[in-house]
Amino acid sequence: MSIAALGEATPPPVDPTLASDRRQVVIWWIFVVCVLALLIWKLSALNWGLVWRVSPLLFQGFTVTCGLTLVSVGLGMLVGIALAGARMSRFAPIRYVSMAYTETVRATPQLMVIFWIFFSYPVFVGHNMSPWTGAVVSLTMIASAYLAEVIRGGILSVPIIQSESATVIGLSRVQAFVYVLLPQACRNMLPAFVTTLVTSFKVTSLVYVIGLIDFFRAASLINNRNFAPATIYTVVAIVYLISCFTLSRLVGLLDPKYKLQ
Amino acid sequence: MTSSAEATSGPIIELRNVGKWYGPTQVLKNINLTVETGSVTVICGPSGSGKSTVLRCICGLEEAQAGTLHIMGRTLNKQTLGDANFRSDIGMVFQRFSLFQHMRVLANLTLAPRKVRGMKRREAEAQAHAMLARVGLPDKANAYPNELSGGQQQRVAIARALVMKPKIMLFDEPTSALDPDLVREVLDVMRELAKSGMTMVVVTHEMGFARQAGDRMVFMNHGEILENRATQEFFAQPATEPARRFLDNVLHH
Repeated sequence: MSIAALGEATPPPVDPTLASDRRQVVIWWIFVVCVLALLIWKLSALNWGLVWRVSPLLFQGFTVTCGLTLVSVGLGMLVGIALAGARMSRFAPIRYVSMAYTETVRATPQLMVIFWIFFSYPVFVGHNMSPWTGAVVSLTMIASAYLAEVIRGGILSVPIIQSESATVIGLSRVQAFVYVLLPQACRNMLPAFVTTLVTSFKVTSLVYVIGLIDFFRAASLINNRNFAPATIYTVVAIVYLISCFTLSRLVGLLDPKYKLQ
Repeated sequence: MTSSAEATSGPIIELRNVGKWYGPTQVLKNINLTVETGSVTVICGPSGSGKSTVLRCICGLEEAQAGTLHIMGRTLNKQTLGDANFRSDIGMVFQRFSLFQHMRVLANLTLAPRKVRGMKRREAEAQAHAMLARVGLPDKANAYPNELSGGQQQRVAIARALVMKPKIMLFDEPTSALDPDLVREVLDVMRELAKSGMTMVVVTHEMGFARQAGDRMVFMNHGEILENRATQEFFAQPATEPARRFLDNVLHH
């Protein structure tokens, strides 16, 4: 060590992993560039003229998918909150009803729920259900069951002292739930909510079984007519990828300012 | 609501033969405790002696399985505890993290007055600002709890209990989780509160506070009250061996 350096504080030690980190980053970028080049080369070989021609149909299907997702997740959220609240009720029968509903829906294939709602309704009521109603009802049921668990998990993650504080200053159980537990639960459950939202978006593609033409069904129909599976399904994949990514990013923006201790 | 005449005439808190079990473990054994209106009672004792459980029974967070509790002239039961106004007449300050983390300080202080007492927003906010000034935090109305120090959070927690105009204030180790340099500001607020004539029951290891502000000292050990005496008497000469040992540990550690 030089004399000049003696008076100074010891320099921070050089991290030995740093150099290999840098090398890894370079290798990673080379990999990314290669994949992109390959993709562009392959994508340019696809039938983009066809995509352009059928884009109005695809767009129509896309709006159906988006609409159904928004409505079913929106309604599912309301039902899910009620279900989660019911599951934590002091009144046992309410707890069991909520539990039975949630577990049943979650334990059955989504396709079955859609079929069951659409085809058993006329048996019980006597007249048919429109595919739209069927889709909204069944997708809401599915979303609400999954969201109920997400919400319950969020609520359980709020420290018990928060509800105790709410109780001792005089809030009722319902008030404590609405003003104290739920807002904090919402923040804690944000990541799980994003997952459910993205799943709902994809599950919506199942409504073709009751005759609705969503984005995926529109693409399949176009493929049946024009037979260009590589082109069509690549476009489908890209649209789903971008949509789901955007969805999760948008929800991330909702992340509130305050932090939990 | 209890009439204040009733409250001032007799003891404001009266526990008779209170017992409580967690499974097979008895955590409170035959607790008899009387608290006079306007007095400050300090409960001390080794950890696990049931001090906090006594407070939690008084404010209804825990249910006693034996004995009776008379608070403000009413017997504690499902019905009285279902009365929001009765519950909020008993203020409680916890050890830590009791502020609503997603609300600013002002909202923490106005929530219950508005939702429970039906106060108008403007009135509740004016009261909240006044109370913040009283605990020495007039400029923190717009802060989130996590932006405050532990001592400031505890003072806000006291203010949040006080805006409900409670008849009794319970403190469950309000300074135990604080850094030593933050303890004083909280104790100062509590001392001021005691001087104003508030009925207080305080679980604490702060013997300096107990000596200055306390009227009665209650010593608990293994779920039992071993001593319940005037503060000076207790500090002059504890009557029981566990209390002597406890005081020795707390004062000379």
